[in-house]
Amino acid sequence: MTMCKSSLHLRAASSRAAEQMFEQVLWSVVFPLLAACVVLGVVCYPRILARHMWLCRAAVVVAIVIAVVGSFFFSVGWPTWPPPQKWHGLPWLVMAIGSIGLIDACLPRGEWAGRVVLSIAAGLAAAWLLPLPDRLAITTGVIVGGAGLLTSLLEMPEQRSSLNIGGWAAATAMSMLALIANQVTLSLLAGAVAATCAATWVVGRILCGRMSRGGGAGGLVLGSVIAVIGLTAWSYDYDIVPQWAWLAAGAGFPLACMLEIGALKRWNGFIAASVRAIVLSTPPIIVVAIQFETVKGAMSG
Amino acid sequence: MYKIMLVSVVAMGGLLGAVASQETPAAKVETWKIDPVHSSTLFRIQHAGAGRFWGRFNDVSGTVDWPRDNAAAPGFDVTVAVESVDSGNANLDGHLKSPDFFNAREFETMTFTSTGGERVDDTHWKVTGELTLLGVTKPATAVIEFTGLRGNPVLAKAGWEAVFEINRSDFGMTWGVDRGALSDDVQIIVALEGGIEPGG
Repeated sequence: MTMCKSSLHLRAASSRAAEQMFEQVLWSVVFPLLAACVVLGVVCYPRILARHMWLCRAAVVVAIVIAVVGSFFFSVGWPTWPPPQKWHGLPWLVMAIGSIGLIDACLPRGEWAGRVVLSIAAGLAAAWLLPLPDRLAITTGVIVGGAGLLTSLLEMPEQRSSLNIGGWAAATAMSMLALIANQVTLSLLAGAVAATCAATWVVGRILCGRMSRGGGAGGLVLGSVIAVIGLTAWSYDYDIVPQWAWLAAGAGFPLACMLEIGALKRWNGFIAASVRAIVLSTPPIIVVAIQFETVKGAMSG
Repeated sequence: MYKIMLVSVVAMGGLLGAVASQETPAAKVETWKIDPVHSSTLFRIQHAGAGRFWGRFNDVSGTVDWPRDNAAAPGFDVTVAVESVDSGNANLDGHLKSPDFFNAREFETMTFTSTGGERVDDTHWKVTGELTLLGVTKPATAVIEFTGLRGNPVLAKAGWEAVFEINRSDFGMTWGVDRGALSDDVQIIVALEGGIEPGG
């Protein structure tokens, strides 16, 4: 009888814990994702608005910013200024990068010089707004600006749905690594970005006629935001996650640049998109596969 | 002869009376160095609206200014190394050290510096002071129990136990408060043993 009672209590406690985990994910990932989807739908669905390519690209930028800032709000609260802790500069930085990303969305496709300038601006914003522990501001700036430049240039030739998939894979890997490093809030933030990338891809498929012409993957914002979250989680990690894993989680973007050189740049169609998606996703998938057992262990805390 | 004896007794009595009526000089305030081996800091918090779990910090240091006659409130200057958090579960320790909770990478210590105190009874004091956690300093009150004194003027040990009740969200530690994953109110119990050593 006593055994039966304690087993019932145990089951009730574990179901309460599962309920709370579900609630945390619901508030910090699903609700920001829904808000992001509303923005994408409202901007990209009406034919008149979707005719403007820059507007659809800007919608993706706004969706990513909403996902990150919304997730931060549900996990931590309103961002305050000045940030009381160094990592609380993250939502401010994401909003600053979002503003830069809106300009990026308005630039003509071939305007690479402007994109370099905007990436430098994103790097400077990162160096100022995110003074991470044990990391030089210049390192933060170079990594964030560099990541932004990569995704901005990768998006430039034409709408690459593969970039959505690459963003989803990289953000998912960052989310899992942050969880292994015992940083639940940062894990949820990366989860919100991953979900938004997936939603952008899905919305792009649903509204294929409109999105494929005018849509995007977030350009500069996609790479910068993933780098910001990954770099923050890495800085607060007590060497639980191996350094190669943090680097490999974002390695798909520089690898994919090889497919933008010479004749490969003009390679289009289903097979080309699939190859690009595979190149973008393989490094983060390898990271997830190798670290999967550790993730299961991390859940026990 | 009887008269001389009587005068002597009266004079002795007067002298003794004068000595007895003189106030005992107050003991001087000494600085007691906290013994990290025999001092502990524990915290208690409610998890998931169900059980209360305990954790501890293994590294406590600082000083206590206190007179041996317990005539004045002890003055505390205590530092706890946040990285020494120990819940008995390595993953949970990692989460407690993360930015979600103590953010040990940025804020290596939490400190309490007392500013005053009032006596409750022979062994208890209500001590007020400033508690710094996550870089945020707030006034805090602790009930202090004087637990004992042993030794001699040269070598001595004294003990105190302080109980704090705080709301962690006041210091910016908000993880899990809104959705009741962890309670906002935390009890912190600091058991200190201070020592005086020659030349110390």
